[in-house]
Amino acid sequence: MPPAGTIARGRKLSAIMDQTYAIETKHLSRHFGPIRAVDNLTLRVPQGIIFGFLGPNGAGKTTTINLLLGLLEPTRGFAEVLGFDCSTQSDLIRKHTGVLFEHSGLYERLSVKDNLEFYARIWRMPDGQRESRIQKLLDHFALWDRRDEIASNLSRGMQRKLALARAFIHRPRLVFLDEPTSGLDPIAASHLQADLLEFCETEEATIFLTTHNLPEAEKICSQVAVISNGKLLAQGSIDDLHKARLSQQIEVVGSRFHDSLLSSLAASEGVRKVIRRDRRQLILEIDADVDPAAISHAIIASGGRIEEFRRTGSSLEDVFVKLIEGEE
Amino acid sequence: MIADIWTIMWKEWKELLAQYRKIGLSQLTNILAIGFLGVFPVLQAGNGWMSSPLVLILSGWVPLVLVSSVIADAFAGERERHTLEPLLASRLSDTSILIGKIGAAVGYGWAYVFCMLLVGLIAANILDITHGLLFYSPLILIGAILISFLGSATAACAGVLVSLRAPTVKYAQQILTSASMLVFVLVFIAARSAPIDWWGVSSRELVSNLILYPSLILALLDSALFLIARSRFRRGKLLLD
Repeated sequence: MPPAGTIARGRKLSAIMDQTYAIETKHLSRHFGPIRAVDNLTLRVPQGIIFGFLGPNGAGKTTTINLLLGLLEPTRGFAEVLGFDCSTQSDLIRKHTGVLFEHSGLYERLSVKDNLEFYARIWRMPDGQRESRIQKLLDHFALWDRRDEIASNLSRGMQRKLALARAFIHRPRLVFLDEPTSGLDPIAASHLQADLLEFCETEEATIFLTTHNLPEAEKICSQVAVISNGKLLAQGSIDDLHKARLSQQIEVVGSRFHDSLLSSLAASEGVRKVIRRDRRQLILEIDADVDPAAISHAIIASGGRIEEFRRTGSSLEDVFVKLIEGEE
Repeated sequence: MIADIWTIMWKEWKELLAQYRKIGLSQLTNILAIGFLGVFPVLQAGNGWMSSPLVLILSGWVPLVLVSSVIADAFAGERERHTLEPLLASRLSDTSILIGKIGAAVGYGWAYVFCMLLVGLIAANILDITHGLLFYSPLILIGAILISFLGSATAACAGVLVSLRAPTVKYAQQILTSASMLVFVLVFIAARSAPIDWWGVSSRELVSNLILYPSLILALLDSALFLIARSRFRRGKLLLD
């Protein structure tokens, strides 16, 4: 019979390896007096993806992270992270996850390297492994040359990168990023997003990213959920959200857009409206479930020539605003 | 748990030492205070300082002032600078964070008293070279080590409780500094009213009592304050506060 510790360790490991979802919540709620910060949240986040948790300020995004990390007790409901129960196994969850909160939370009096070393020590990384991991992370985020400078000397964007490196120091299976690009200028934000995408691919971690920056979510998230006033409004891939809520708008630039082509397009199934802006530009409004490729084929079949073909006007921002307005 | 406590202490000490990279007014005050507190009593009492019971009072009170300032920064300061959140989201237990921070502050207070005693020892030997090599009387030295440790622990545990409720570091430091000044006044009044020659050599029995009773009181106080601090230092509670 194996010793008890072996079984426990085996269970812990299988809990991480076996389940399909990195995060699963059922009717998760957290109330602060009369305020329902998180209200009946049922959510599933598959393993290995960047999942965007979208919502306006005060929607309950940070409270959800705190609940998932077991830092707050839920008022009602259930949540499992990496197969561990958030209420009873929060210490195991924190052992296997990394987190970057809205504030970087760096020790500004310590050097860049010491900031990482402290967290590497917290995760009990052996000396040699610790050194190489710190070097790898600082190299990746272009901070190695500034390793001995105190953290307060870094620009805001660099501080954010350092905090991101800290969240990944122990190779967590799941990383929570709370508004990672908040307060950064567009260039710094774009660099951070690129770094994040590249890094997530190499680290094979699941990312749970909260943001109200919708272009950011559209750019880096493969699935999203929208939350407002603590309630989940929608969940799925970005395409799912587009399809679920809106018609699509297609812009076509080309030539030979004759009247016969326009009437043939207007008569096609799923096409709501066809507008000819000028001789070279068409705007089409089509149902959300219509494949835009079918429209391009129809144009070519009717003798039209296409130089540019793009979906416009129903960005995630539109979806988001409509969802929030609907909720209000 | 021990490794986790060491990790927290490692970070706290790194931060404390980092403050001395750039010598500001408060660091300069700390360094000058060691010199003053080490040398001035020797100038007053001569080589009698090596067995004066006043060493015990000084060893108990000095860390009270120092540690309270450090501990306020370690708790209220971390909260103010948002460094507490990632720490609470790490794998560390509440108790190891608490003990690590208290341990680092106590170590700082203790080290400071050691430096102060060492400066006093050097000053006494320089000022009185005719009597050969001078050293603290063993009882006074043991008492100073014990009382400075317990005094540091009292300041640290009380500091945790104040810092957890204080909105800012400055506020916590003001409360704790005022409290340590009050303790100083009370000890001064009590010392003046006691029929003891504080600057001179006292009997072994008197010195033993001066070590034993305050140590017992401080040990009990430390235990009570630590238990209260442990019950209040909880992740969920800290986050909600």
